[in-house]
Amino acid sequence: MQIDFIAILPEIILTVTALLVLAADLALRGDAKQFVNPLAALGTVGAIVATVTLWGSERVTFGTMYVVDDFAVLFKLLFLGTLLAILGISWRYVAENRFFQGEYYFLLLTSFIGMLLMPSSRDLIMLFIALETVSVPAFVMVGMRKRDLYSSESALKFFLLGVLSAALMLFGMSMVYGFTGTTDLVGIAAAISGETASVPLLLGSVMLVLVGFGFKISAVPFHFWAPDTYSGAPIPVAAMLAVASKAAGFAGLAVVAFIAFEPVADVWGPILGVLAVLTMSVGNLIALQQRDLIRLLAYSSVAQAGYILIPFGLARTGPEAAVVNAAAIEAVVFYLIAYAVMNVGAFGVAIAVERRTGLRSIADYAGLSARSPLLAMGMTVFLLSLGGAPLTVGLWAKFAIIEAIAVDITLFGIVLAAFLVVNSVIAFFYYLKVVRTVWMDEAPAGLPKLQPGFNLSAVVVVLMVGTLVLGVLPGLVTDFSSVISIVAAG
Amino acid sequence: MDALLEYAWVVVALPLLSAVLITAVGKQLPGKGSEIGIAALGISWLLAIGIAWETFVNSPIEPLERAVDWSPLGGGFVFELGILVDGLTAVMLLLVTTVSFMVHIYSREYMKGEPRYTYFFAMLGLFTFSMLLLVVANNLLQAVIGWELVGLCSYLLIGFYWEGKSNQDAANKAFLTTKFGDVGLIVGVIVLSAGMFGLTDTPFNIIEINEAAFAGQLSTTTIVLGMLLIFLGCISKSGQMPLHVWLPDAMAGPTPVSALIHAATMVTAGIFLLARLFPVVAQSQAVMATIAIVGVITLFFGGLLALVQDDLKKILAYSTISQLGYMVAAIGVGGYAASIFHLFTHGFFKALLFLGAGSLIHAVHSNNISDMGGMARAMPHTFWTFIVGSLALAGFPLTAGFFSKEEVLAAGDIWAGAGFFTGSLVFWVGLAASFVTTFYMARAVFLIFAGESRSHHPPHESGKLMVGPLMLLAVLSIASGYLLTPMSPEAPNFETWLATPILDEEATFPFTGDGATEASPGTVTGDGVLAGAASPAPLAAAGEDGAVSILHGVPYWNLTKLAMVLVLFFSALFLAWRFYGKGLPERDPTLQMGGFSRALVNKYGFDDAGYRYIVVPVRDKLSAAATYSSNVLIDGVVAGVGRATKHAAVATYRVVDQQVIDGGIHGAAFSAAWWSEKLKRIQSGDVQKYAGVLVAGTILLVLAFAAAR
Repeated sequence: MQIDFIAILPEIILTVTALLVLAADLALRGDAKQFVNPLAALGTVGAIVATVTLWGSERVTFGTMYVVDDFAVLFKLLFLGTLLAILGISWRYVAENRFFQGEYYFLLLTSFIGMLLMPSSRDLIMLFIALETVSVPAFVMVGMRKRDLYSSESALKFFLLGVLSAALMLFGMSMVYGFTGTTDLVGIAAAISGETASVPLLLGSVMLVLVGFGFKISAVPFHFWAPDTYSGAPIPVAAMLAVASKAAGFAGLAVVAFIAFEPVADVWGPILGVLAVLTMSVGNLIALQQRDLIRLLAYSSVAQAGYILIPFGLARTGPEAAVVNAAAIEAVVFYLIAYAVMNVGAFGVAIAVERRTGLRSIADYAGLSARSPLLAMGMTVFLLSLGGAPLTVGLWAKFAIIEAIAVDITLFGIVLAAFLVVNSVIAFFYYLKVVRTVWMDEAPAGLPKLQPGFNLSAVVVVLMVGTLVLGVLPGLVTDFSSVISIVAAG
Repeated sequence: MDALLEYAWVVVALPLLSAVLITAVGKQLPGKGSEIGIAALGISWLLAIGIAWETFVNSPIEPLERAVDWSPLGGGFVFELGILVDGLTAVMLLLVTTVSFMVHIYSREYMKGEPRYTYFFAMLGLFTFSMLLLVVANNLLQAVIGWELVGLCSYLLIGFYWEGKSNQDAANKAFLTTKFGDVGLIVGVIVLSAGMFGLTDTPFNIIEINEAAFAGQLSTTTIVLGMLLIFLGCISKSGQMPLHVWLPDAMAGPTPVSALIHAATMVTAGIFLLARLFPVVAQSQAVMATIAIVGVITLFFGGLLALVQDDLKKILAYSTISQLGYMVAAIGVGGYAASIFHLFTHGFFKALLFLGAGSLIHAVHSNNISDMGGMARAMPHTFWTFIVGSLALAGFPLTAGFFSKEEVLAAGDIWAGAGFFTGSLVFWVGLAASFVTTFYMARAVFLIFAGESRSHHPPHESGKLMVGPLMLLAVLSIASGYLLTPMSPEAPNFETWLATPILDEEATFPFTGDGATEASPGTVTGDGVLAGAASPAPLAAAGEDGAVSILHGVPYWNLTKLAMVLVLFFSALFLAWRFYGKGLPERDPTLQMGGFSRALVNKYGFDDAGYRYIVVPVRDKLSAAATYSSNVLIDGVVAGVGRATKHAAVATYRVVDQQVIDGGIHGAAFSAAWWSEKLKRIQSGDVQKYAGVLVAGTILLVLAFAAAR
């Protein structure tokens, strides 16, 4: 078998970097250990360069298991960009909290290797390996604050529920294999559409496969781990779980749903649509009650997952479905990119506020505008964008979903759009509550001016500018996201 | 002629520039940023006058549209950012910049010494920009953006004194209530544009939507559903019942803000939008009837609520609700020009009244009219300008409010003449409400200006910067009415100003009324106070089919109805004078002392005064035996009317306003909180339970999947 090494170059670079980080951690002593961070960042930049060169090409390797097309490249760039941002906001936080730094960065990079594999996978086994490569290091990273019982508790919960959902998914995969006789996604699609009447048990096992991804993207009712885990985990890890790991889940879900299970899209489409409605409504309603900012962001990210699920609810099957499905995938990708930009930023500000003081309740953000105008500005932009305010990328993200709905208007589509609009209004309420606290409440006496540090400030500024620039010129992303297509490939 | 109109965007951009500059460098300047705001608005104002003049003298004009195309998501769908300048835009530009300019000047003195002085001026600039953005919008998306920004500025300015909990509550209430309507607006815009997707690349373009609707290219469902949802937005923004509850509370903001936002401009956004989309509105009888009925309910019950308020700003707030009701009702009965005419004149005299109120409040440090009294001597300029404003609001002949309100009533009359039930409703209820209007304004004026001062602070006249705007607005409160009167029959007038290529002289409604036209089809004669065409000959009807014209032509005098209006005005004035002429509030706490107080309270108590001044003289002067029965009747009627009015007002306020509507909104908030509370419970932290729910959910979904086919 000929292996196309160019196609997997980004993964190779990241793997080598991860091993170098582990080795460097052994060699370095004391404060010098923190310099594994720039090393990791350097490797990430290398991987980004390698990925960019792959744009526009169509490479298939490991038989047909592994495909590098524009869809995969765009997702990989999203993951690597997020990784760079997370490295930026981690540096001081990790160095100060006396983590095992080498291990932390090694695990982080490993988890991202799994993510890079996800959008390229075209085989159930490959998908499962990618998913577990993302999850297993994450289980450990959540428990990194080892002197903190909460951290251990959240790691354990995350692990137990993660294993449970992985087991369910594996069970589903084995049954799908039993029915179709192949683990190749295209082959599965062919086998399913070859059947004259679909067996209920097959549809049930399709659902079990989707459950595994439902856990990763924290869709209701598989979302319980998210708030508990985010609030116990170190904040950069929470950011990773909320953004990158969730995007990986969506990448996997898109691949498996739109390629392998496309012939039964008329079954999973509406059910995922209902899940979307449940997810955004439950996420937003509970978010209204939160007093801890990380938990608020956690529930907000549950709600955001609901928005991103909407396009899946539009999926169709049959010969004329390609247009609708392509538009749906486009909306998902665009939303994920926008979501990464604004959500990592929000977590970044949260890190700066929590660092050293451990303050994380919303009330602790009072007077942030006086303590650090830059961070206050950043938080405002990110939260407004998460809400979908004009002049931010968040508006276009929601608009992209509406546009996907408008491709072929159905009653179900209109219902989904209505839920999207109503939920956006509810969400504004708690986002603006934080914004108001930041700008209008007096800071408690005795708190020093915030010193976020250069890396974190740089990340926040870049993401803030990104949120606003994309808010005016969303075409910078849509020009790329509109050319991708896995539907034609499938 | 277009030369000046091309620069309409400058009118919009200057206030934004002012807001940005004030934020950036305002604190360093000697005037703390106020000079930037005043200069920017001054230029905007002059430009707006020029544009208004150009469009007015040349009316009817071809609308000028300039837009930057922008397809952010790559092809297929084009988003526009642009301006549309026609008569309607020019009217609104003139109104908004005038009031905003006056408020800027006025605030320089009024807000002196406030801790957030610079921030205040920046917000004024931002608000003015948002409103103008909405007004010049050539597409609905841009209008929605302006609309939302306006709402945001309003929220921030209501909560300007954010140290007070009640002010924060008021801001939240306003935000939530208007947001409720905004959902309707957004969905409505989407519904309306969804119908346009097949017809054009720019589905949000206002002119194209209007043309398509007029040409019958939009389905009835699209029009009815879309417009009713958009109207929901108007109900909340323009303070129509039952979503008016935020407006009185919004008076928590600084008074100049109340004048600018909650009286003259922002609250008219809903009516502006209805007028902007009038060709669409006019396609559906059902939509128009809904609009008319909501307007009628608001104009009547809103006015009643003003009767029992002690807070001067709340009197004016409820009066605003009532007047907005007139404008909405006018739209509902085909009074396109009448509605905007009333909006235009009302903007001036309500801004005048609010700024006058601010001047009074500034002097006595209280909002309550029971703390004022005898202010005429201390504040002569405020006094006479306030009188002018009150007369205009009450519709006293030859003031601006008279011409515009009678134009609304005439629209109702013409609509009734064409056989629509809602027309009579608007005419008669509108007439009755004008009695209420006169009464509550007279009550306020007597209690504020007559009698002895009850203030703890010796009142003093305000400075030039506050009095100057009052005088200019007083002049406009009279002059603006002369744009459409029986005295100026030839073009240009206000109606030709508002005419567009679609809404021209030949434009008619696509449906006809039933009933009244059968007598002489084609010659429906409106007999409003100032109704119809230059001659009492055929007016409202154009074709033989009895179709009703959209533009009504120049009004003419109708002496019968004019007499009716005058009788109502003077009887209300007389009644108010009887009750409050001495300038003493009916329940003055300082007078509740022993027998002396009791005597005063008995003498000037609401019911007793009615009894003493009306019932007793009537009974004494007529022979007891001959008129006993009629006395009882008159007693009953007079006392009954007085008491019923008062009870109705109190009951409406207490039950409908404070309990039902507030309760409903609280209820909605509460139920969301309840659900939220329940849902929170599930997140118990118990991992076994999580796993249980996860597995249960999985099983449920697997079953759903298996059963799906």
